[in-house]
Amino acid sequence: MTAKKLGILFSGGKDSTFAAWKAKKEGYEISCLISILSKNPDSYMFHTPDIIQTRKQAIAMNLPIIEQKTEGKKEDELKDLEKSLIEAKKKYKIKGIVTGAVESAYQSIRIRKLCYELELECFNPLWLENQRSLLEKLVKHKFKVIIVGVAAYPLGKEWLGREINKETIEELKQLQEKFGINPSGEGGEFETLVLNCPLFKKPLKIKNKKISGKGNAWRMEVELE
Amino acid sequence: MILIVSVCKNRLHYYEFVRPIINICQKEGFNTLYKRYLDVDNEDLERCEKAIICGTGLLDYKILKNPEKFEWIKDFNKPILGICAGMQIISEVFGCKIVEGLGIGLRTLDFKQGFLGVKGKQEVYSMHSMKVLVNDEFEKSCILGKEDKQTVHCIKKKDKQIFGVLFHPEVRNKDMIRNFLKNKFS
Repeated sequence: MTAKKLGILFSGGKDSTFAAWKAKKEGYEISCLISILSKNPDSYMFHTPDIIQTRKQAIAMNLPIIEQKTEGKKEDELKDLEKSLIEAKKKYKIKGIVTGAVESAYQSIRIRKLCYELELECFNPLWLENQRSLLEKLVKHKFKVIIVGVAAYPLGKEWLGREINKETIEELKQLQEKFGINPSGEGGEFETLVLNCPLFKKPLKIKNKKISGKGNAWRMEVELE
Repeated sequence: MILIVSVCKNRLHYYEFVRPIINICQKEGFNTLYKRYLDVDNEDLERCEKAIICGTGLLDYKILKNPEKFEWIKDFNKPILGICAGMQIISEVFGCKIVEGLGIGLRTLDFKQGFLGVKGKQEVYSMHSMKVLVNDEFEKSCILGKEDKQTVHCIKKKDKQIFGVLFHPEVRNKDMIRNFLKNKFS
């Protein structure tokens, strides 16, 4: 039986990458990555820090990528997502998409509606997964993930560039207990970037970085090689 | 032991529609027996004290054309909870008609009479492409819409502890599943 061809709604962060890996592990064929490049840093739908680096991650995975630009205005983002899904369906004959949604009903509802209209399966293999266990699985399966954006007290500049490892998970666990920080960053508390994982043919390295922000909202734009 | 029945055609949907239910059961201290609907046998039915028939992807149900595989529901005589596609299957087994009826999103339902231990208004997460035209064998509740556009969101078989919810309680209403597990039915 031929494996079902899927497109990955890909942000370059830990959740979409881990979801892609799960799909591959279950025997599906990843036909392409789909990245939405939002001009709005506070996008309701899409992860934005370092999204342009998805191109380098696609090369590392030896996969084609569809890059769709959007102004990032609330519901208009969906029209741009629709364009990219239509393109993926036409060009790569995908039968469904995979997302890294864990808890966000807002995101999930909109993507599911769109997929249904386009007759595409919508797979969310991390849906309702325990946040802490998700981080532990990343470490277990050798995902090298760094934090590239923070947006919640008491997270600050010092968190940028930190790798998700046992120590980081322990610290996030304490912050969850004390301040209610979601340990997986699902509420936008922090954003991540994957530098290596079992899907990559070779690891990526940070060539240049630029840090900006203030207070508890910081981001690190990186150039990968 | 709780029998967890999957109707997912695609293996990848297991993580989304079945695993969260298993997690809730296990967190409450219940052992689970996971089975694909095609593989449920008499031994499973004897071993388990309750059954939960899970939901599946929006495009899946159209290809689920084996209602005879669920005939066991009629003779199980133990509590059953059907979630989304699971509710549709239960209804179909007892002669209800399944029709197209898309519902994706969050909505508020008023559980006026109480349902699986929950009473009053609650936000629920819906994701269904079909709905049920419920017959007289069931008590209906949380009916939204007018006349022919009506959607029944909760059902209970009149003479048995068989329940169905069209929404996904694992997302916003975990208490319903916990109550079902602990025999808090009303």
